[in-house]
Amino acid sequence: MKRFYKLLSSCLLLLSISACNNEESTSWETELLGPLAETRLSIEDIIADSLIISNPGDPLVIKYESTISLIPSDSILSIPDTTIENSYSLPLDFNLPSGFEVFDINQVIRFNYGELQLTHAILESGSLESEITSSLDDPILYGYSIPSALFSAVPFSLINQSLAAGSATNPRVEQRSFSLAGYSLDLRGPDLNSSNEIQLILDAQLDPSGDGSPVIANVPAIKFKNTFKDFRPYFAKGYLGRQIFDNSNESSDLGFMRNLEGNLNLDDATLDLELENSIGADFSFLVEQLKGVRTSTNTQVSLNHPMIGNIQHMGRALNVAQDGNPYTPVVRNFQFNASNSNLVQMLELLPDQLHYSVRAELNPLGNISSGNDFIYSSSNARAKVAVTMPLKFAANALVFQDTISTAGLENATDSPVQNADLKFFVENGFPFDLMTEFWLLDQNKALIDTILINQNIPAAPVDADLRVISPTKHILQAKITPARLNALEKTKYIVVRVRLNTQPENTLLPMYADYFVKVQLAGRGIYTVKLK
Amino acid sequence: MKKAIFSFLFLGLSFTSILAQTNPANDTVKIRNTYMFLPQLPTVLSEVYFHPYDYFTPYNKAIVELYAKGSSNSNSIPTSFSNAFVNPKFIDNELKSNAYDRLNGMGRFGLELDFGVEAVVSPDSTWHDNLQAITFSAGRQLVYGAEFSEDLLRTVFSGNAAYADQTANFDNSKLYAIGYQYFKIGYRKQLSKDRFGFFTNFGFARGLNHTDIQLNSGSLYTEPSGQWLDLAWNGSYFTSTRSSNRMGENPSNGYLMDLGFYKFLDQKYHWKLSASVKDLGFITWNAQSDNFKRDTSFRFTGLQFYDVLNYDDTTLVVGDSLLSRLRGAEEKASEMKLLPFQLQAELRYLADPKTGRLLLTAGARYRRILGMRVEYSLRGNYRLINTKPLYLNLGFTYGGFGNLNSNVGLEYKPNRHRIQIGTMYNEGFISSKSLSGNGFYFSYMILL
Repeated sequence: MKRFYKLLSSCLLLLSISACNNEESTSWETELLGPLAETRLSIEDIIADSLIISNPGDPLVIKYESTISLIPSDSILSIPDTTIENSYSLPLDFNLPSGFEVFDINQVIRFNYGELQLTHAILESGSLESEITSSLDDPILYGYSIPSALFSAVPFSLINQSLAAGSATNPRVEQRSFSLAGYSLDLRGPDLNSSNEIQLILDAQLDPSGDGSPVIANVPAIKFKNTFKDFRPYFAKGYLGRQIFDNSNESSDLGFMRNLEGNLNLDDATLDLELENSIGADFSFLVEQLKGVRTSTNTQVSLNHPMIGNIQHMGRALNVAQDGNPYTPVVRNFQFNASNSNLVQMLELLPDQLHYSVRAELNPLGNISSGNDFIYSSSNARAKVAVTMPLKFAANALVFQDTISTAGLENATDSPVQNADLKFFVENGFPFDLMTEFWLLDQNKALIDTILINQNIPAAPVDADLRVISPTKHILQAKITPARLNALEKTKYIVVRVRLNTQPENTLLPMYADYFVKVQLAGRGIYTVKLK
Repeated sequence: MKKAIFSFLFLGLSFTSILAQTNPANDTVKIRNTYMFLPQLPTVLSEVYFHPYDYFTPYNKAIVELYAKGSSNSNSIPTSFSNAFVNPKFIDNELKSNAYDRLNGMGRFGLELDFGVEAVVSPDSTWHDNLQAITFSAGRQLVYGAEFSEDLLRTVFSGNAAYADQTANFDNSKLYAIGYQYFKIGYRKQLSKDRFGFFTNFGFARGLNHTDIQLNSGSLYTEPSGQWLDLAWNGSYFTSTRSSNRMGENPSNGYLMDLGFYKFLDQKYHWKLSASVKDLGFITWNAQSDNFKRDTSFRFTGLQFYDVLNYDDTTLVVGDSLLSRLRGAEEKASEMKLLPFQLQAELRYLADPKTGRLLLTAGARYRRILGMRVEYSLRGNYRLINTKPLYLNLGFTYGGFGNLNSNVGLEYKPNRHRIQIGTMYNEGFISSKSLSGNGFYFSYMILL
């Protein structure tokens, strides 16, 4: 019997080992031929739809719009937090009787708002943070109110508040927070002839049903601390002060332009500038300088226009609702075009930075409204910029270059395809020659391989109206080799360079929405099928 | 490794039991003829090398058998080729050429793997005297079958580049694969001594996986420079999900039965006719199965990259993929599908009644799998040494998934044990050109 078990065990063991010992995969090689990928690019794929004006049959127009707030947010109505503290102490030890009135304060608080002289404000947000501390042995009954802070015509008021007894060694502390959002503040003070003032009434007494409480000399028996915090008015009225907002020698980076180099001739360009003042105060505006800078060549073009270097005065907005806003703004328009400026020359520079010096002043003539300036939280002085440019240009060796970071083509050397011929079937529907190159760089940005070097895609021919007749077709070729796969695995950066030359040369060519370039990638190579 | 050994021990082997005649007065020959259930044994014994006489004494109340068998066969795929999938290795051009050279018309390939455990129990003398028993069995069946055109075989294993500017024809290609577990309980009885017996089993089947792809017509045109591929196919696609084989989660279950009989035709030469049907039943595959029919054609020009300039984004938007174009919209549906039942008939003949050393059996077998034809067999079982229970099995088959083939095995059965081991098909045993296929069987039986 044992011999059979031994035999059976041996067979099982042999089968198990033979089944588990082979780590090789089933694999074979196939030679595949077929399309891999396809893409089609038109102008609308290259430039965002929102920037393009496309009318059927007409050349494309690029319109770039941007709105800039000339005054930093909250800089006019920057209201600091204000804290008021009141305390009660005696110069000698004393026993206070029950029901003793410790506080009865009618206090006018003056906010320090700098040049701002506000008479009214409606709060969008803000709070009153209250802290009361008692070292008295009896409970305290207290109350306070702000008669000029109204919510639905009801003043802010707290009465019959109670604080439990404390002691000199272990004072009783109570902290409370009250939202003042939506409150209307009359800041003219108790005599209604001032500004930035508010009246606070505060009272406190020992509990009449208590036993009285001793007070230790020079030790505060009660302390009140009230903080007006995070005030942000929805509306404010008064004198907003004479404030200057100076932005000298500022610059704005146009990094995307750094990807372009070469010669670009534009047909036309227009810049519409709309200045809007929605603040109830006079406003002046001065563009001292605006210039485009090409840092790579250290060249620059200053924009010339009658408004540049001249102060522009803007009247005050009206406190009358219009178009969903509680105010009626004042608007002034300026246009920069080929006849009154050198905008086209500035854009042809392909500037990667805009340098500017802008100065804005509020109430340049002082308090000429007798304290009737106003401002809403949504008010500002804004500049709406719209650059309109027909997409009609001539390009000579205009190069777009960008660098893409990559983690490397993982396990490229283990790729199932080690050798393949790739063909790029290109249909070029644009009236410019195209040359696309890919440079593979390692982690030290050293060049390790190039793909599609010096393979030009001819421009599509144009008719007498400078419109493309039909696309040209061209085939680019590349190879996949073990060496290239090795390079791809080490690649950390890919430089993409696209060079454009419009044809015919030196002719301004309009671009149309139906222009496109179509690229189809097909390959023939040995693919190793490996079953896991 | 432990898992593999465990699986093999407890699932990979089956057992079949044979109830012995309980009359101790029977002589040897008599004992041979009164074995009730041998012809209908569903496993190695009945299908390959069945030697029904003088195995056992007639006093056993139960017999248990562990068995495993597996085979692949093809009219075109050499065993060395298909073995590359069993024992993974690189399929070189020589292996491919051998397969291509053998193809003449449609290629066929089949693979069957069956392992399990079976017990036949006759619990008391009443059951013995009435020549009846109950049976229990559990096992696992894997069946694969494929029919394919030469173009499909060449395209899969050599690629489509050779078909540049040509249309590869995939008409009538099919792929069938199923795996299921079965649990059966049965009843066996011999109606009159030595003359007629029958058996029947009923059981539960749990579906593990199933793929059934039928390509009524299919083609692939390759544009000379590879700019496009024109694909067309008409057919049906069914494949179960992985969740089919998880207990209690979207199960795919069904029922099956076996039926069989045998009849002794004479006393001298012990002619015996037997026939059986096995695994007649169905499995209802769960509703997560991909299940659809298509009649479609399209031109593939590459993956569509719609936003190729937006390379700063982590994902490029890939449009219609090849797979989705091939498959179309995802459709999932439950479906009840028949199991690949097996029909089998055999005629046995004792060639030397005086010594009883040589038994000849002719048979025919058909399994309902795509690509399989009726397989005819002729085999002999010869006792090598009169004094030792050692037997040589030798046979030939024709049909099935392949053509002419051979098989060989040994059988040793001292006392209450029996062990069988052998091959199912022997590619190259006679002629490497004409024989393809390979397989093994193993059985261990003990009488209790």
